[in-house]
Amino acid sequence: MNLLSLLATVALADPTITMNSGQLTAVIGQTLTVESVVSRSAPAIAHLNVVSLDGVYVDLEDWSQDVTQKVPAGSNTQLDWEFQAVNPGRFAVYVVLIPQNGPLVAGPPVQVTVTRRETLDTGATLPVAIAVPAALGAATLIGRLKLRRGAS
Amino acid sequence: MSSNRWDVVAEQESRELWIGGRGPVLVFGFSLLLSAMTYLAATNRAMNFLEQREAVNLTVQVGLAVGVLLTVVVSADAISGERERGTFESLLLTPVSRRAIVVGKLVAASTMWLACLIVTLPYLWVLGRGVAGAGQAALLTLVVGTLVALGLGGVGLLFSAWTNSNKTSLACGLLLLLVLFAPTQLPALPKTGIGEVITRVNPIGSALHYISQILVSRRNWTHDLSYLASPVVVALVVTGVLIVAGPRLVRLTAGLR
Repeated sequence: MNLLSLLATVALADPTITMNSGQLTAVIGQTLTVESVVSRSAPAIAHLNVVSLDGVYVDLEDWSQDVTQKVPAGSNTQLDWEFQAVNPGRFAVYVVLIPQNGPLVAGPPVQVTVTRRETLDTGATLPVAIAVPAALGAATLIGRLKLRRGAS
Repeated sequence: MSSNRWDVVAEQESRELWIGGRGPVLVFGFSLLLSAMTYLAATNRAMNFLEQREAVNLTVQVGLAVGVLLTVVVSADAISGERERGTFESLLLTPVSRRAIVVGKLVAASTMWLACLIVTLPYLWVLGRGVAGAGQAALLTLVVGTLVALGLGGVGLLFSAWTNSNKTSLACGLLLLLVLFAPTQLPALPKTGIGEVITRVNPIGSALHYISQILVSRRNWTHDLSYLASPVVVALVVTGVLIVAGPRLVRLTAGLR
């Protein structure tokens, strides 16, 4: 194989997408970031998608506000995707490349397991929510009464 | 001969604010607000959807916003209030330099912010237990909040020096805060080109964005450090203006002549 055919093979090779992680675990509500690297791509648009593996309805807008990013022509383009785990269950998060010409290219899925979260401890918040204003209110009242006595 | 003992002015002003003044009442109101918010975050089903770190972040943001608001309210009253009450003349007759009066008043107004910070700590502790977020949130609030409170408290003091009326001074301070807070309520703002510029220029917007990046997105402290440029610049410039122009600002009547 001569140099020209080698260059042609490289230039005409399909773009690929790699992810920095294969599996993630999160607690519901947690914000996660995954990195993808798009290689050998012509100008294209990359799109993030989330699919439930348990059949739960996924509203992509709830998961991420930025689901599309432009990919410039180049050998390697790194794209960061930030999303929030808003449903419990098992999900596949993946990136699809939409080139100006040619077929779609999908990246490998990142398996995300989202567990339910224990709610905040109501029992502990109530004493603090009552004690702090009560202590400050009492201190304010005592201070005012002392001042009035001192003035009279 | 006048002395540069700003600490004497700061001590006297703090005394007036905290002993028999409105400081304790304002902080009491602040604690009621945080109590209601903390209890709702822990019990209300809609709000309890928040991840624990987001609940801590929400508390920091409310604490910072309201703490800075109260600091501006106190500083906006510092000079114009004394003019209105007719007590400014006696202050000018004391053997303290006018620059010391300005610096002392700014330090005294900043004690309001420190009080708000101390009141916020138990709420951060109770919401952030178990996620190692409370200590980090407290340190962030101390560092970032103090910068914002110093800068905007100084702006409030400038308004107070430039106006004869306390109402005008307070209205200017509150309007400024409203203008700075409004863009922070647009969640997608920092993600657009012009939006990022607006966020970076706005000392409150950039401070809140920096805090949420660390607390919620778990970035390290240096990742978005450039967002602190605006609060640092505002704090330095305003403090510098107050120190340099202090003798011209502290006058019986407003104005520079």
